[in-house]
Amino acid sequence: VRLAARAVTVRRIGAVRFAPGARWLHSLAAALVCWSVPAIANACPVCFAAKDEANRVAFLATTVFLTAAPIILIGCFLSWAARRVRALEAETGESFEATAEPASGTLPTASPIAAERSEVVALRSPVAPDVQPTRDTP
Amino acid sequence: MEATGKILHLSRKMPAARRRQIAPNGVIGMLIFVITEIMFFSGLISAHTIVKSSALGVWPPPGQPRLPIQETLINTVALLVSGLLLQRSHVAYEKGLSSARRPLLWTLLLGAFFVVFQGAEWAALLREGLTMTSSTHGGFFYLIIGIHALHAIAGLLALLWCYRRLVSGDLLKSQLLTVEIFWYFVVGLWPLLYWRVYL
Repeated sequence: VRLAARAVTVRRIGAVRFAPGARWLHSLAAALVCWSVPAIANACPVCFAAKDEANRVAFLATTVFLTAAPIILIGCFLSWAARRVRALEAETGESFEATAEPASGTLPTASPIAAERSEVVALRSPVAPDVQPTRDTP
Repeated sequence: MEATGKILHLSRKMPAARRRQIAPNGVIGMLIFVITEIMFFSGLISAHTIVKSSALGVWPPPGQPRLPIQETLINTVALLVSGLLLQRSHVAYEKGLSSARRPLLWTLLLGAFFVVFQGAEWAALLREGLTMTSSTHGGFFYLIIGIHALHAIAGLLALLWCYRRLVSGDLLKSQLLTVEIFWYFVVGLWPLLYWRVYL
């Protein structure tokens, strides 16, 4: 009896009176309105333009293309970086895992920039390189 | 405060992780930039594909001038050859700086030919009535091809900078490689644009 009484108790919310037991009626009415007028609610603002098969295929193809492109590009970049690390490891014989900082004042020997500067100097004058290798880490 | 001081004291004693380069910074930066550029052009090409497929009837729309397919094919070949010559310049660089000059110069000349030829083509199309506002065809043509032309001009300026450094003997391999990546992007993108926009 107490539950039934609570269900029909009229409650004031703002200036409107609501019966708590009748809220589901409002939800149902809102759902019915949404269900009865779906034609004016397009998921995509340009989907209504899909007129024929070619257009539908174009929408599908471009969606797939734009979805896959960043994944492929980032994947290629990471794959290239991994292959590069493996190649450098094989070349220098050192692991690329994080290691301790060398003692202050020593220069890293496996610096690509330093090696490259030496190469340019060697190409310019094959006598003797006169440029000191630079540090590759701050 | 005491705990913070202890942590700071410990962090000074702990050896910092040593970073190693897998490639020069310029190359990494250019690769990331090219990735964003690919996405940018992907958006443009996708939009063009949708509009082209939405057009009822023929494309380009009736009354609009047709794009010069044969003439642009010559331009396409010139751009592709410039890419090959840049690769040859890269190989020649390994042997000596002076031997890389000639292929790099030819790359520059062919790139300049491409841009000038495009300019002449645009002038002719404008005279025929194809403008940015004449139709979606014109709008997309000038937008996509124009942005590519801007990239080609930027690439030419970078190649010119490379050539000057090469002549003075200051060009680093990483600098050449950075500019190469950008130019390969400009060259590699063009056949796709030619196929989607011109054909």
